[in-house]
Amino acid sequence: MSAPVKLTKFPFIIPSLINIVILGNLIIWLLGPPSTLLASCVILTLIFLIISKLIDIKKSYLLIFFLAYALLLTLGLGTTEWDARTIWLAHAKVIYLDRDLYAQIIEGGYIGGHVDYPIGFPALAATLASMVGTWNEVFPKAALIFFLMPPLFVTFQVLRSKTLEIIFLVGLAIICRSYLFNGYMDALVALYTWAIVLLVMQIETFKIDIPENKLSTRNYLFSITMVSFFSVLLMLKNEGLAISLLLMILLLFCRLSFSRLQLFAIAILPLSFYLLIWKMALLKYGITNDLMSNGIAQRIIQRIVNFEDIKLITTYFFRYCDLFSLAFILNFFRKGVCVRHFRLPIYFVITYSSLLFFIYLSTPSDLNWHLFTSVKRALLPVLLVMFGSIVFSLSPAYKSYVERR
Amino acid sequence: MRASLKNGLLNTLLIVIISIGIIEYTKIGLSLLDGTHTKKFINVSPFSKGAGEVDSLPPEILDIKIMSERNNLTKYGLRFSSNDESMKLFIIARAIEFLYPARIDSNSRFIFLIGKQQFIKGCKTVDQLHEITLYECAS
Repeated sequence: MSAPVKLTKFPFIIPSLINIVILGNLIIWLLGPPSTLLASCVILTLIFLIISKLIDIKKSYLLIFFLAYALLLTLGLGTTEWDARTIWLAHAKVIYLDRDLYAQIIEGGYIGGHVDYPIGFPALAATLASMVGTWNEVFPKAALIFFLMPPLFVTFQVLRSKTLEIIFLVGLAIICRSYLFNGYMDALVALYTWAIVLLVMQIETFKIDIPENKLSTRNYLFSITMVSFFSVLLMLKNEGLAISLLLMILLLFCRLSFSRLQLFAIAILPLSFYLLIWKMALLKYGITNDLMSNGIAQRIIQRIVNFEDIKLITTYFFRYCDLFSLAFILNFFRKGVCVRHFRLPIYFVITYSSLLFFIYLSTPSDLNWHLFTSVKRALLPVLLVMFGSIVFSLSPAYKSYVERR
Repeated sequence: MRASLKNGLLNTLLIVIISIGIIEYTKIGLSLLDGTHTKKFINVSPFSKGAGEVDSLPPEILDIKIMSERNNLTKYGLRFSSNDESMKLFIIARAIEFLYPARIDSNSRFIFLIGKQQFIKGCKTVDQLHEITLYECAS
């Protein structure tokens, strides 16, 4: 019988602080463009937090290697990928040059694509440029490292096994591929989604290790962590809004051990932040999402009755999910794995895949082209949640939890 | 005996997983290298002005940027001597973000012609670099 895993202190303070600094950066830009000194303070605080967490996680060689590789690829190569240039770094450049958080949506500003996409990453890349004092085609994309680390810290803190950490990093590379470092937001959305699912499974697993009198403090800190992760996820990409709403509904539905007040805070605070910082500005300037164009219901009906379109979407989905979904299902037949403990990832995988299915049914673009160019990125959260759940089920924390039940 | 066999198998499995990991991360690095124009790591400081431009952008865009700055353009138009639609889309998208804050504007009197130089009625040649010509047109 493996020994119960004891948490001597709350392990997610630094990942939450990194998220809070990232969100604080948006408020700084809202109040006015940051000076070189202020921008340096933001970036140096983030660097300090990452280093202190790397020291805190004993023997964190794997994360140091990962970080070094991320630095090599983001600071050693130019930026060539289409969305990275046309959307994310272009928005960052516009914020940096115009010294305005909303430069991309102001009339007469940037006329490139997808100006409705949230500005969590572009604002931090603009802050990095403000610190350096110039813009170029290399370093701004390194801002994504500050987003990569909090979910990885949470994952490593929970897994607590070198073998499982290696397996997770290998799986991450297989699932997310170059999207991890090329300036796209999809891998970050997947990692933040996974971190939130893991945090929820974590609180369910560890609550029996905590004395009753400390449970409320622990739950309070968990709530702050959840709020910070949801808020960053919302500010990463439009998919973050869909995923956040879905997870918030599932949290209610799964009746986990959060109090009503905590659930209310976890849902309301991130959504309020998103609405106040970004959505209201979009409404003010009349910016809408291109998928929400007229005739959405008509397109869905047309495609639902067309068996070829449904077959095409299903084929694409299975092409990217087949092995992982099979492993995800088979894992529940393993001795010591209880389906009930994985309600959240199971419900998420089913509901988010269904949501994506309907989004593809409603696309105003050519369906084949839309699937070809985006499905492998859109499915990353689903794949990572499935894979991460398998790895979590192998962790000492989960095993000890099951044994003690 | 059985325990040592199990340990041996697990160690072998771990070595296989680590090997897969090294291959996958190398593939990521190579795929990112493959996307650049010079297919190599930058040889200047990543924080220096203009770093990564030749590694990230086609030469036509770099020429347009040089001429745009040389002539202090705030607005410009683009024309192509070729009919290659995907090339046009690529150049326009890159020009919009790379030349910012100079804005693309179809009504601008300054027009870059990408491709072979040709006579454009009502326009005079202002600048030229390689296969890009900048014209100033009457309206």
